[in-house]
Amino acid sequence: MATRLIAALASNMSYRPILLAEPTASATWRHLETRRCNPESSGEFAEALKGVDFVVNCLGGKPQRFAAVTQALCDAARSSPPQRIVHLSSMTVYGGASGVVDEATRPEPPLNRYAEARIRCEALVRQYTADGGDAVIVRPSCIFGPGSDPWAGRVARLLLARRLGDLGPLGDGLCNLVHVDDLVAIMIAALAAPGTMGETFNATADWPRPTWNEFLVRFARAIGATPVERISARRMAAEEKLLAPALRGAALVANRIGAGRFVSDAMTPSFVRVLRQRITVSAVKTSARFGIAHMPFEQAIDETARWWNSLQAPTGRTADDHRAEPVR
Amino acid sequence: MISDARSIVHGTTVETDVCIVGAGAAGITLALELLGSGLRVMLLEAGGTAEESRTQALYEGDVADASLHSPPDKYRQRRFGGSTTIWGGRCVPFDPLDFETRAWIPHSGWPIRYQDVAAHYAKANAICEAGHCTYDARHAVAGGMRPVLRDFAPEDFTTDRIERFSCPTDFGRRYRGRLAAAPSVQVLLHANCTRLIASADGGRVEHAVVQTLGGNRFQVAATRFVLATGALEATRLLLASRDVHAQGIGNGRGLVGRHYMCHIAGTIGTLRIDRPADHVWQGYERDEDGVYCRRRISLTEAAQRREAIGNAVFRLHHPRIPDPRHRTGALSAIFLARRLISYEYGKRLVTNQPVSSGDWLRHVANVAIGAPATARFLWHWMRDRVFAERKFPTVIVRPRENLFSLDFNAEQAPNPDSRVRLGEQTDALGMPRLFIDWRYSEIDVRTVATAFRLLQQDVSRSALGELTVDPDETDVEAVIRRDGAYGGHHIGTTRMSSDPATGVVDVNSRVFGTHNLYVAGSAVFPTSSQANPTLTIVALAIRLARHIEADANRPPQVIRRSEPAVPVRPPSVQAEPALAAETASGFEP
Repeated sequence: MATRLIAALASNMSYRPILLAEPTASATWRHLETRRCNPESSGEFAEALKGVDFVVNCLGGKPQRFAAVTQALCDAARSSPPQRIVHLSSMTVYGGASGVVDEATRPEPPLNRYAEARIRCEALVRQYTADGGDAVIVRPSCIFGPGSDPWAGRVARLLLARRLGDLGPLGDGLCNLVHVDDLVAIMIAALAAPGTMGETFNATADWPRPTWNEFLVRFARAIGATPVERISARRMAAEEKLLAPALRGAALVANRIGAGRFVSDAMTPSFVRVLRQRITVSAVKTSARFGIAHMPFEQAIDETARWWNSLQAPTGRTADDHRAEPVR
Repeated sequence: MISDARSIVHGTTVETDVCIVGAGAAGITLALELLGSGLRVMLLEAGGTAEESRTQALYEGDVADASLHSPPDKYRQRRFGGSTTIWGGRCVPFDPLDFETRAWIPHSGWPIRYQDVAAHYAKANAICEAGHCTYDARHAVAGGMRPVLRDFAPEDFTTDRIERFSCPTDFGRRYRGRLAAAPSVQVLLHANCTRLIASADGGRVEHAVVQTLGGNRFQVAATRFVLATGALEATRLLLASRDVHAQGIGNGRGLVGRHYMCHIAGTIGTLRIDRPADHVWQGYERDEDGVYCRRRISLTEAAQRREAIGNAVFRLHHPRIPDPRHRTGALSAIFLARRLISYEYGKRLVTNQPVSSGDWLRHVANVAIGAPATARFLWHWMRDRVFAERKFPTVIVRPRENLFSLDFNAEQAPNPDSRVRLGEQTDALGMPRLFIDWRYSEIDVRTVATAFRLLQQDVSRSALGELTVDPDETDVEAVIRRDGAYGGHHIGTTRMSSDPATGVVDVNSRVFGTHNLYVAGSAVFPTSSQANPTLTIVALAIRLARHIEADANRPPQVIRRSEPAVPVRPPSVQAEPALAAETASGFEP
């Protein structure tokens, strides 16, 4: 997401993007100013924010750090206020809610650690606006599209491994996707949209939602993961309860020796929960406010498949390379 | 929402907009299709979510000839999901000719067009989880499917038509979550509908009487009722509902239960292919959605017209399993394990001839000699069938020496004398049991015999091999009798017609003479085609849902009955109307 956002901002005459990265992060972009600071230090943050008009908080990584980093950002912004902070949150803040949810829907249990961290961050941002700062919260649903690993790269790998496919009853829920470029468009629109201070916006495609089965089968066809496997509920339970813990343990060990790419993706409980959740994230408010024309479903699938297939080309990067890319 | 009829207060009346009786392929499809229509739907299911012996026993009844037709409690499941809990999953659309009035087939012709049903096949395919609605072998799989027999270009058959296979989808298991989550749908388990109560003038069904085996009893009042219980049970329920209609609802002309059809199916002949083994392909291919597809050898429309016969298809088949001369370990292993196979799937493993000890030993020898191949088959079966969610459809064993038998599936022509009626016995709920008198007719034998002869000619012309009749199969009628009525395909007992003199339901599946009673399922098929019925049952259920939706949104109309109902007779007197005597007592169109 951050990569696409930076690229979009760089091509926008109104903005000159600056990357704020941790001192240890290896990420750099050619022709892009990069500032480094400890994101948990409000002092360093404030120094890094000097001269910055807008801040987009695309916080990733471990949820344990979310609150500390967001707190530091808000504190820094209080001392050296930017025109606006656009805080990227997540639909996970709705927790176990079902049915149609809009921005006013309260979180419902169960809430995992990631969701709790996201909720905490939103509270910090809201406090910042209550203190007079200007911030907007954007809650994307499942980010799909070129460069998106969780809902494109990972899903593609699992489809090709025949560990995902047609999920039967489990895949009957509606799939709340947002194309990464549409999310970027919403984020950029949110930067300067007047009259939106302190507002929260869902970011999800406004076309008729496909079911998870429709999405998975269509994507599988597009990347050549055919014949599409039919996955039983029993097998998904085994993936979630047995294989996922083992794979996560293996990944921890493998990452320490730089072999993380050789460990298969785990279908974690949070991933399976998203598939299982019967939730429809409302895009009404965002569409009315920003009027973003979302990329049609079929086009989004085909474009993402082209991206994926280009990664598989012999001279290109592999999907695992992409997965190993550091969170910026 | 899913609840249990045992929890409904005894003697109460539950109200709804649409009461669907039976949660099988038709009933569940209908309920799903009415989601979002604004109509409240109550889906009555006699069973629970698993087979229960006392409930299943309510299906018991009698048959006129046990060698020709299975007992009525076989091939049917009285439980949530209905018989989709045991079906094989074969999905085949009807052919356009099936809908036409064919002069050579008495009582043929649908009152609706092929297109009226075909418009719903794509969605039916999706509900059945049978992949794309593409039934052409040239397009079903990228690059086209492998030919059945290379260079075979028959004149009277096409090998480009295919069958697709559902998972097979158990509709109950697959769609339970959706129905449970739907606030407009109430599924009631263990709810046995034992009678429909008509209004005094007979023109409306006012209540469905519901009983549980535990003694609970209540009524469901609805604006519309749909019988989606399968052709046998729909007949039973209509005939048993005699409070106002003395001969049963919709039976003013004695047509309910008549024209009962199954398919004429079995195995016949030996096809020897004088070509390398890789020139023949009897197996399945998977399309991009993972759906198993298979070519069939389908009789052309032109041949049906020219020969004045019904519809028929053939498939390459392994030799008859009970005969150990096939020398195939996998087939012998199946034969030896036949007691572990359910009645429905083991029926063809039963031979009329006693199995001699010599045959037993031959089977054992086949397994022993062919141990590696048998082990490979068993591994494939466990992996691709037993533990697979999308199951490998049928046993495919490559026979030795390119010798195949032919599996045939032929249309049974409608015959008013082939019928289902109420028997003398009653079940545990006091409902009359069924008596099934299934009969084939001369044209059915002629269809199979002629189709086989035409295929012999085509094989002969191709010079690719030879199709011969086995010595014990020279009498085609005996072959038909050997396999009997094809189990599970119960068709035509409340046939659709544009004229109440020749049918039980109208073009919208509404029972003639009633304003609010419909039948969903293969009971309404006027003819049987060669195709397995489930896909068309689902397509027609979708069509019915659209009709009910449209009908519910129509402004109210003044409806005048043209004739009074037949006078009430005591329920204990079973009506046995003759066809000719009913012309004056029915309803006008």
